Amino acid sequence: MLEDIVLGLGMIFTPENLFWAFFGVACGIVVGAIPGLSDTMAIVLFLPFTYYLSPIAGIALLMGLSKGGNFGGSIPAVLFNIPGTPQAMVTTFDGYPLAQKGLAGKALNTALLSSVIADACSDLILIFLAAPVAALALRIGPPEYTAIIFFSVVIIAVMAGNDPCMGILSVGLGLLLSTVGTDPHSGSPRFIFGFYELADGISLMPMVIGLLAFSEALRQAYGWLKRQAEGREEPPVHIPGNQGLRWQEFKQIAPTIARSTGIGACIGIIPGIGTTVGSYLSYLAAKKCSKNPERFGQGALEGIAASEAGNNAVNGPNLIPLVTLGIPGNLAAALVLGAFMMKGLIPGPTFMQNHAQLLYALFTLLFFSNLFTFILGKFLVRYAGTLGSIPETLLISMVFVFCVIGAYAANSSLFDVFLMFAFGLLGLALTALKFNLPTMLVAFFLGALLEGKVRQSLAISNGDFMIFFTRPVALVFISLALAMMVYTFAKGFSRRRHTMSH
Amino acid sequence: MIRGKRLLGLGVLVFCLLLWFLIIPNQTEGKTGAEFPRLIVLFLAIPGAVLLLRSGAATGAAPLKGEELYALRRTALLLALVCVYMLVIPKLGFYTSSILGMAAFLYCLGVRTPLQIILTPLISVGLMYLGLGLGLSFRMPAGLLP
Repeated sequence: MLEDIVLGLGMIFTPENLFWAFFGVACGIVVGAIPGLSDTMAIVLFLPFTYYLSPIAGIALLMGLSKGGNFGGSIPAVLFNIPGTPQAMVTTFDGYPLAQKGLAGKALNTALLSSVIADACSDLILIFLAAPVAALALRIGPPEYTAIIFFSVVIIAVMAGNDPCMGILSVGLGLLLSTVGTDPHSGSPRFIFGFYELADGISLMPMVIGLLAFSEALRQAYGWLKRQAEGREEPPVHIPGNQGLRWQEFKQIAPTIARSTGIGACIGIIPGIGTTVGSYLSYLAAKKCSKNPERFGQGALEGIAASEAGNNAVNGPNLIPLVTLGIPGNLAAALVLGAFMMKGLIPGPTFMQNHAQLLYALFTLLFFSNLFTFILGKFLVRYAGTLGSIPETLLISMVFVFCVIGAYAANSSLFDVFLMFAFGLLGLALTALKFNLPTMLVAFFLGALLEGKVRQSLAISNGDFMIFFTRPVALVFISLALAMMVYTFAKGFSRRRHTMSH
Repeated sequence: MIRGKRLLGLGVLVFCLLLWFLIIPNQTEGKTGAEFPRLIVLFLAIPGAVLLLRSGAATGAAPLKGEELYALRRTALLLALVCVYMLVIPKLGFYTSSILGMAAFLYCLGVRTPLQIILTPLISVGLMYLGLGLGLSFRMPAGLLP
């Protein structure tokens, strides 16, 4: 492993790789800091351009966007009380009250320091856990693999939102969309309905951009037009001053950062739970352990540190199932998987064996991205207020144009542009029906892998489905998944009955 | 809301039946080819049935307010403009269409200053050309341009 790490280090020190990591972080912070734009949208819009970069540079750009965007999301949370990313919601609890007291700079510096420290620790966990988990993954057979994917899919579905039914429907729809294209067994086209452009499956770019960026831009446009018609005023902006953290204050928040890093890292390893849960649980734990819990919600530095460390610590461990099993833990990881696939690299149990140096090079770049986040964050915090004043009309118009570029980029095909438009409309309809689009996309990414493993298992057993119930490890994971489904449905029914009786 | 979810559940079940009896047999080859899609149909049918069986008082959707109706109409117009923009790309080329398209989007979103409507698309698309066209040698449909 050490040899691979050393050789991997040698691969990253090129101006190209470092430039794209730096550029990714800068764009991530800027996009995350603009209310209404998220780190996910940044990754989606930049994903097509990784096609033109080397694998390390492309992934460095995406990871930079993710890390920069994660911190960037805390900027509008503190300054405008609007979380730039869903996981920054908890940061508003104490960040905005602190900004109202004229301490926006201190709040943002706390968020930056907590984010960077927790993220770096989570990257260390990734580096040291990836190899042992990959070694373990090499020993599992197709039925066990199928059961693990099924278990992951069920967790992702039931954790997706308030309604597990909608989560499972989203997963089902994602899996169904993954079957469009060519049957891997017979080689004949299926579910293409005469559109031969779909013979290789639904192109990733038009689908992701349409569902996540285009439909989101339309929703933003609707929101903007509605606010204009209502004549609603924008919230006041608190310009951050040059207020760094004192040593005494750092000592005060250090235990919170450590605890939240642990919580976030544990959550990160399990696919589907995600950063928002990480930040919320960390916040609750910090409040419970505090000697002055009444300060939480009034502008406590520990509250900001817990939220930011909790959500950033999820990032590293979240990549463990991706690089060792090919299972993306969340949407950002799924998009990174998409970038790997565009380069002909398929993450899975043998990935660590065959591309160890490349992986360690990428892991090392994660540290550089953290360093860049710290440097750029320190610098950009001063201009954070300005980023929020970029006209929303300009951003929405530009996103439309970027959607077209992104959809066209991968295959130079206008069919893909229209496919993106169709997926944008589908995204709007599914959001209105309360489907969970990120969950659906993660399932779409998992579809081909799941189908392959199901078919391999059935080939071993001559088509007998009992193979999934006679192998102990497979049985454990399938039982856990089924138990979780039954539990969430039963809980939903009893909650509904309780609500109706009141 | 409850009625909406029940309708959705019914829709999902009908979709599952269509998939099982009509679409999958016609779109796949042999028993093996249909196996995985049918497993997904079963996976979809479970929440569909649960949604259909949910009980509760039926509540209608609140009528749209004037502002919401205005925003909805404008968004529909914006969607139509995006559609026109995509249709003219092969004829006019990406950069020309994008300048015109962005100007139309800005107008539709309520920008009324002529200078903003003209300069913003010119500068934005110019920067895109510098970054993507020249920087990354990324080729978009040329259309009218050589």
